[in-house]
Amino acid sequence: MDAGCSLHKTQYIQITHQKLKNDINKSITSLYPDRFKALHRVILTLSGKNYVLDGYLFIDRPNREIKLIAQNDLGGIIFDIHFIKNIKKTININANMLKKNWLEKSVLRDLETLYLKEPFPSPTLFSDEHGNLILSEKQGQITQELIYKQINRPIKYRLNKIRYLKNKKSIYTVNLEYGTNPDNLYPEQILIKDAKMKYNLQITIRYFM
Amino acid sequence: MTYRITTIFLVLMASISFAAAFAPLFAIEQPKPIPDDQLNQLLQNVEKNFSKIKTLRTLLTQEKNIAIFSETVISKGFCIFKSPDKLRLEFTKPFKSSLIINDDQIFKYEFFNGNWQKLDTGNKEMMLLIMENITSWLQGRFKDPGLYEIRALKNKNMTFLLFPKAREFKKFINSFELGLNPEMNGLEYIIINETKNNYTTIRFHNDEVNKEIPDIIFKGTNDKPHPVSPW
Repeated sequence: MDAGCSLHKTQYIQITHQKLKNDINKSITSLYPDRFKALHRVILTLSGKNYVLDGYLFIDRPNREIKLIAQNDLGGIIFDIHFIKNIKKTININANMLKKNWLEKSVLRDLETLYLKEPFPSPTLFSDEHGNLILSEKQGQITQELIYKQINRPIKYRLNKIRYLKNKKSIYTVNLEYGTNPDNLYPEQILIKDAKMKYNLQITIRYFM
Repeated sequence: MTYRITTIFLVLMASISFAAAFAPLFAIEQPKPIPDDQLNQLLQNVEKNFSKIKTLRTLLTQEKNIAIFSETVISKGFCIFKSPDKLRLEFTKPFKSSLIINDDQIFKYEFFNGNWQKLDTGNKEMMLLIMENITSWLQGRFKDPGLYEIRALKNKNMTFLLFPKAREFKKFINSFELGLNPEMNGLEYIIINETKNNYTTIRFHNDEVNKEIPDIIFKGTNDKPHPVSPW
């Protein structure tokens, strides 16, 4: 192991174990089943105000496809999205206050980050003082970090956080919480904080698998 | 073998002919529209019946049918109403949330990660509008010519259909279907026909009418909704 960089006052140590790095990097492809449906109960906080939405999701990971119907919690479709990476992007909006561009940069980006993320081309692997593994890759000005927490011995890691950094400052974080059951495979709650676009999402999830 | 297939075919044909011949006997009764000249009187009678409801608490089951889901998504909760303008709509499964109207004030709570959160809602006006609609319906006031075109159908029970008039409203909702109980003094269900083949059914059950309901359960100034005793 080599002495590594320091981010957020946390000492990182680079891990050069190639197989571990490859395994961790590839594990993003098996984070969820190939195809599933989920219901997101979302509290969106924007400009200090809260909005509650229900998101009905269909995810097809091999086909890189997302379908989302977003409803007001009292009923009524606010917007829907049909996205197939590099092929199709349809966004229908019923509420005038929402803009297509904003939904693309927020909701669609969040969903891609959560469900369609692919392995990094050439990442670096670190460990921190808590025993977490941090898979990191710089893409332009942004450093993307996937933080895996060891949950079981001998070795089992679970994705706990996704963090985007710019000039060593966190600009986007996704916290994945798996509930009290240590065997939970999929997160029960997700917290998303976008410092640049100034919104937070608190998501409770029910899966249909 | 040929004989067997022919026999099966003949039996099938006979069954179909038999069913066709007696179809009128087995047909499901079609709902009958109430003529316009009787509609106003009917609405007045229903409102008079409903006006006897001073308090109501009812359990509810919500079934969401979403075009991209093959499963019906079921939620459970309750609704508590105190005439004229106190309403609490709370879901308990799968997600916990509480929406309270107390006079003209609205309070919204969501349960996230084991804790209640009191929200500062950004769409208060829209929520108030929806909750005012629900309050009106619970009082049997279905006619709102500014908002809806109204029709009534008589099948086993009476059903009112409300079609939004405003273009902005129609983007969200095609129609509301309000199903009355046989006594025509309470709601049995509401169907919200949304756009693109999505619809939501809310069924009311275990009603308790005109029982004492303390005002405190509509108090929205605390950091979590006031607990409600089961019934």
